Amino acid sequence: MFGYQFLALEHWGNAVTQAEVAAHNMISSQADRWPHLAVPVFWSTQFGTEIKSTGVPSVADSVVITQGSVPDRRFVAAYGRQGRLVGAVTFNQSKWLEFHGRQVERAAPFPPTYQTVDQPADVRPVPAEFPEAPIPTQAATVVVTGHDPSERRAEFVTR
Amino acid sequence: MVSTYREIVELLHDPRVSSDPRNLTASAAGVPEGVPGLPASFLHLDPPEHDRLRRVVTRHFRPPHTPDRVDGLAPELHKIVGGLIDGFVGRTEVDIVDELAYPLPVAVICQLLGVPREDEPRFHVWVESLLKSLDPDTGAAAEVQQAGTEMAQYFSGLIDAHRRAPGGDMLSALATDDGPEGQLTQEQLLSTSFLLLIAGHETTVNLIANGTLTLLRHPHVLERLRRDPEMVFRVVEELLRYEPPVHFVPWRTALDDIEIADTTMPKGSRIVLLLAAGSRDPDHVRAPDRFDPDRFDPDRFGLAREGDQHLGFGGGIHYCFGAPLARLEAQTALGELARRLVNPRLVTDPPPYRTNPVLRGPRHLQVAFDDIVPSREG
Ligand code: HEM
Repeated sequence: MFGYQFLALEHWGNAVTQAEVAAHNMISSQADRWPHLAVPVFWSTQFGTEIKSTGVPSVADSVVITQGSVPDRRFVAAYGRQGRLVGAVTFNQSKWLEFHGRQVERAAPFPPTYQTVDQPADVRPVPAEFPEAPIPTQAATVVVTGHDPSERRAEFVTR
Repeated sequence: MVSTYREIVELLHDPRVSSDPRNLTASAAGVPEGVPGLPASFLHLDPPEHDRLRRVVTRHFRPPHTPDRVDGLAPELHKIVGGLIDGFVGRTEVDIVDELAYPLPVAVICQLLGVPREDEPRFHVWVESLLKSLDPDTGAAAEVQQAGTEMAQYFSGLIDAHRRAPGGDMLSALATDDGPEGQLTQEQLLSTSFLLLIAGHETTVNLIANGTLTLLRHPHVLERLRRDPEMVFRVVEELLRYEPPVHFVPWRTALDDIEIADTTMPKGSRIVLLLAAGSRDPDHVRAPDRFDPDRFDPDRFGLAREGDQHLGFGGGIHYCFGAPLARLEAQTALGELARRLVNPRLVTDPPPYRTNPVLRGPRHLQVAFDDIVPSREG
């Protein structure tokens, strides 16, 4: 999903979801074990601004503001990599985060083409300008389906 | 029509879904138009207008800026409930709708907005006329229009008076707002006042009436509540799940094609969210058709983490603004009914219902009893 990178996720939410899956797998037979397929999420409040992130924005090549306004400090930024959504960050707009998490799971096209409330007039992506990281596989990604840990599945899709 | 819990929650948080009826291309029948001549209230607006109006009003209703608006109403609320139940003394039968569930929310909203006591009777008449617009059975358009105009005039005067000599109420706070986002216009103040009044009225009536009915149908729960007043918190949560005042929300629109549960809802179509069905979705909650306040007991072992959520107050950015006040009103009324009615029983079961399909509740609820326990104050 995120270019087959090893990721260190340092938010406590990740520790909790991993532990749930690990604990379940320790006491379950082979056939009942769950894959750990949670899309990473973190949040933080900085100087009164609630910042939340889903997916892995740092692997993106482009970013676009899909809702709200940057000068008002209330917006949703969607991050894309090679035409697919890989992450989103909300500033004081956290009620929309889960929606974008689901779009990341579906490897939705980037830039997003759908109409939403509070859409800026200009939805042109700009380069994300994250430092380059070595990426082993470029031509495929994974789609995650299911809601409950017992239903989560990953499917390989190529372009 | 969406009736399953997970899909309703997804749509409540989907930015491709609008609450603004102007986006409907399909028929808008049954969508309330608001008050003639006034701008839309934030219930029927999308971001960014919705968010700004709701933030400004929240600043004068909830912490951190206003820490004790709701808690501050508690003593007055107890007094109002106590007074209404005192009115049952010496009788053996009352209509809970007309004599408690209905007058309580009007009195509370008057208190909240700073409507002087002596104006309450006038106010009551207007509210009753306005509420007829919500009931497809009556549809008294001229009466609604007349009441709307008179009430708008009354409120304009009240707002001006509060602006000159502010009191501790919410309307004074809004009229003299010095917050970072500026003041509401007079028209926005009017439509916000009307929204608070209407959104907080029929809903609360139904919660108290449905609650009384449900408790009388489950005498063992009522008996437990009488012995353990703390149980009222769980009873009210379970009522919001099991017998909710708002059965569905009919005014959402798809701004784009939306794929959900293997179906595509086409752009422009109206989306009806069946909140009441979602709260009884067997994939979400165990034994959904059982009235069981203990499912909201935080100490009970083995509850699914998400399984103790209901959709009674909606969700997402339009989550009920008045939820803390609604809870307090219902907890106070039902707690006092349980404590003070001696041997209460239903006179007719089922009672006659209102015809409104969105806001479900009895039109009248005759309850018989042997005696009334004196109020604590008296
Ligand atoms: C038991 C009582 C109540 C119930 C069941 C209830 C239920 C709801 C529901 C389901 C919504 C969401 C509507 C939507 O998604 O379009 C809502 C919104 C709202 N409610 Fe309540 N409500 C109750 C009491 C109150 C009270 C007492 C007040 C006012 C003091 C109030 C004020 C509002 C407002 C202003 C909104 C619009 C919020 C927004 O659009 O951001 N409600 N309510």
